[in-house]
Amino acid sequence: MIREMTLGQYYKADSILHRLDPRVKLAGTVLFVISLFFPKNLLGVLVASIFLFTVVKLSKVPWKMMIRGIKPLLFVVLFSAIVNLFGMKGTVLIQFGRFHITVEGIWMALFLIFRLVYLVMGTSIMTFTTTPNQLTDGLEKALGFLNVIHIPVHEIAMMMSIALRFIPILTEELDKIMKAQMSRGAAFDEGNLLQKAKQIVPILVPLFVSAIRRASELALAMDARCYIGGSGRTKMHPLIYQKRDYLAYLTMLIYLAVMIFISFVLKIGAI
Amino acid sequence: MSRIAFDHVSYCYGNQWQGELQYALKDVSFSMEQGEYVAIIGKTGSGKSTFLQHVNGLLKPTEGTVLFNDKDIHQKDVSIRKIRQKVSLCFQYPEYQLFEENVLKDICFGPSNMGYSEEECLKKARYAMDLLELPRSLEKVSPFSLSGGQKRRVALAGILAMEPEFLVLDEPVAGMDQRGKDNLFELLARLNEENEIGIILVSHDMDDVAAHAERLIVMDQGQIIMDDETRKVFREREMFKNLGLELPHPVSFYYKLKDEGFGISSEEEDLPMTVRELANYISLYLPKNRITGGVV
Amino acid sequence: MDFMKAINVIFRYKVFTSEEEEEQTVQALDDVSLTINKGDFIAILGHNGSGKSTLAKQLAGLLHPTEGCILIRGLDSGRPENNITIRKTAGIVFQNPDNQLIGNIVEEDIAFGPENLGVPKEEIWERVSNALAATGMTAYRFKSPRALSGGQKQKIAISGILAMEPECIILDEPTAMLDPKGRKEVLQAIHHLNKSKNITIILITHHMEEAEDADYIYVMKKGKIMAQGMPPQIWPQHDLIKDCGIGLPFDRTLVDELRDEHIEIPVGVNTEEDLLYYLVESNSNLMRMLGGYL
Repeated sequence: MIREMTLGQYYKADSILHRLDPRVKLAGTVLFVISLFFPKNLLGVLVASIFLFTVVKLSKVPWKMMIRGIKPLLFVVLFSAIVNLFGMKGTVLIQFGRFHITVEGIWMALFLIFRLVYLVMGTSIMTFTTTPNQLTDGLEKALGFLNVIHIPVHEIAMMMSIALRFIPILTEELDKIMKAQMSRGAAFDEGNLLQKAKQIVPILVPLFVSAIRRASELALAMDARCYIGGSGRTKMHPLIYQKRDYLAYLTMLIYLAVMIFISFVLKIGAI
Repeated sequence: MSRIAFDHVSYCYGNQWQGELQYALKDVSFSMEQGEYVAIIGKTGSGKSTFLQHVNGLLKPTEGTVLFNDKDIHQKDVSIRKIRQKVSLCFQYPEYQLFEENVLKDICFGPSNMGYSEEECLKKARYAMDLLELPRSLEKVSPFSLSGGQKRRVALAGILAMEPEFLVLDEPVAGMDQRGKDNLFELLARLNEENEIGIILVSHDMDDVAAHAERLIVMDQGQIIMDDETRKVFREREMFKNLGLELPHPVSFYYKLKDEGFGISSEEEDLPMTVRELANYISLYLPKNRITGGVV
Repeated sequence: MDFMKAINVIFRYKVFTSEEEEEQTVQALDDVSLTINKGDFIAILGHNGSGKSTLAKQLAGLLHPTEGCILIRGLDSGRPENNITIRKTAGIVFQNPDNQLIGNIVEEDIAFGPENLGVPKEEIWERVSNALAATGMTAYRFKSPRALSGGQKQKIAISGILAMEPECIILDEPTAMLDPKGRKEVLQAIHHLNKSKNITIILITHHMEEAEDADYIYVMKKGKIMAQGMPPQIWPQHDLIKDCGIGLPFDRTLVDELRDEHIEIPVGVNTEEDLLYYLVESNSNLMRMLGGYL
């Protein structure tokens, strides 16, 4: 049940991608997503595909999982593809009534599918190989420079990681409160909008009370464990770049350079 | 007299990632009359909580039917709300469901959902407050400003105000001190005897179970593995050992005495369910009114 | 020097009641004094709202006395500069295991304390391993706390405190939310720490049975200490214990009930085992006597 659900969608495996520093994966994901907007020809798509497929292979995340990640987006992808398919002006291929499909439309739709699907796959590779905690750690360290302008990066990261821990607990609690109120005859799907809004009160109030109670107990427990904020703290697993991390950065840069070269310098098969 | 029955009830849930089905309840059949006092025991994860949630229709069986007065409670023409009024479920730590601005309003929540007029709701609420010995002065007080014990009683009043025929309780005395426990069990016994409310009690505390329930159901891995008179169930020493369940103190002390050769070994005796009964039993085999031998 | 000392501690706090729109002062602790030695196993008993949890937080340096003072290794808990030293000397474990685990992975959670104290990386690893070994939880090092049972979570909470290398662990009703199996596991772990590592244990509970093995017991009611002493000194005071809203342990209840049956159990029969053998012995004596007559 809920107990077994992991938040995010971490897939436990031992791969080079799992071992990479989360900062590398964060930066890599951002760069990969940007790179998806470069290609204007099939060669670019091919390079991006080779890159993505190699990374997926390296991550040891089964294809089944990757595809499952795309499924919920299928509708959005198809919808925007169809809009593009019919919406483009240009060489008309098929015409029926007011609608027509153009060559440009087909290309546009295909590129759109490519971008959306690769975007989802690219980001899920990160979430599949990085635990939420590594992610917050990575963000904390990567955004550390914001401390200079007085943004409490450590505190924000700590809040994120605590939120991650408590979301499943509160979800379970929500379920219990709903059932308890249903046992007292509450129904949550009857009446008009106003009545429905009123029906939420018996759930929200106890949930808030519980969240506050938990928060104050947690604060006390953190006090008891000598928490005084980010300064002077050490880390059990400090983020230190290894050789493989530099190599990964280098690979990313080469990939990016190739993509830029193909898309902007080489002008073959462009549309 | 109302009646609850389970007819070959199974409940499974799918594991999201592996996609395999797991049984939380497996082919459970059971029935009880209004006025009975039943306890359910079993380890954490044995299916007790899933069982409870079927009794008032919070969960729908995957297979089999749950019946109230011989009628499937999930049939279209049955009002599940009416069922939930007649079969009230009190979750563990019920005080966490309080939400109204004052005690009286909170207790009225159940009855008003059942469609009673405001006047009737107030009457029922006050009746429940009296049952739980909550003074009238608390009516207008915010439930959140009460002590833990008072909150628990307000929550219970909110359930009793629906005037159920069956009361289903999951660990009702968790976290309570001895006095609070004694008071609550006294109330349950009174409701059971005087108002003929059927009680289903889920508890880890074998002493409580032995002292109060007439009938005992033992669950393990989603199945009912024993359902009999409480006194008889505790005869199954081996079963308790195998399941990793404790015996009530009086029972286990009785067995220890027997193992050491106390009393007359051959006789088939009733097991003591309370310390009182144990003391009674011991007194049969000891001289009275003076300190006897035995150097310790 | 005494390890831990509370001297005439009074603690009051203000609550705002909605209906009267005014502040009310609640006195949670009323002239509490106690002395605890290093390595002791102390139990503090009391009904709900007796002030025992407040006292626990005071001893852990999370609350500070309104009047009187608490000295831990001679350090006054009222002084803010002592906070960190006191908190790492006397760690506290709370009732609800879910609300005190901070990490998403067991080892991360245990490292939280040492990380806060600025312990170097290698030493954190060592402390985490040791803390897990001490509670027998090594196998769960890389698990998520969500995958653990209540009792296991509490043992992780205890390990988390252990990793700060405290001299004393205060446990505020650590078993209240656990099933019998979890309760047993946690109690075993606490006793083990007390015996093998000489860690002072202060166990707050209203389960009398958990207090039976303590070296010394304090009984509280309405913020006051009503009785104190070693278990054999406390148990005979039945009326006082009942008056404090706590139940007697099973064997003491049996002694009471036997008295109602006109069977007196001599002083000195202090444990369930003693009682068992005493009863068996008296029974066989009686049988022998009867046998003589036959």
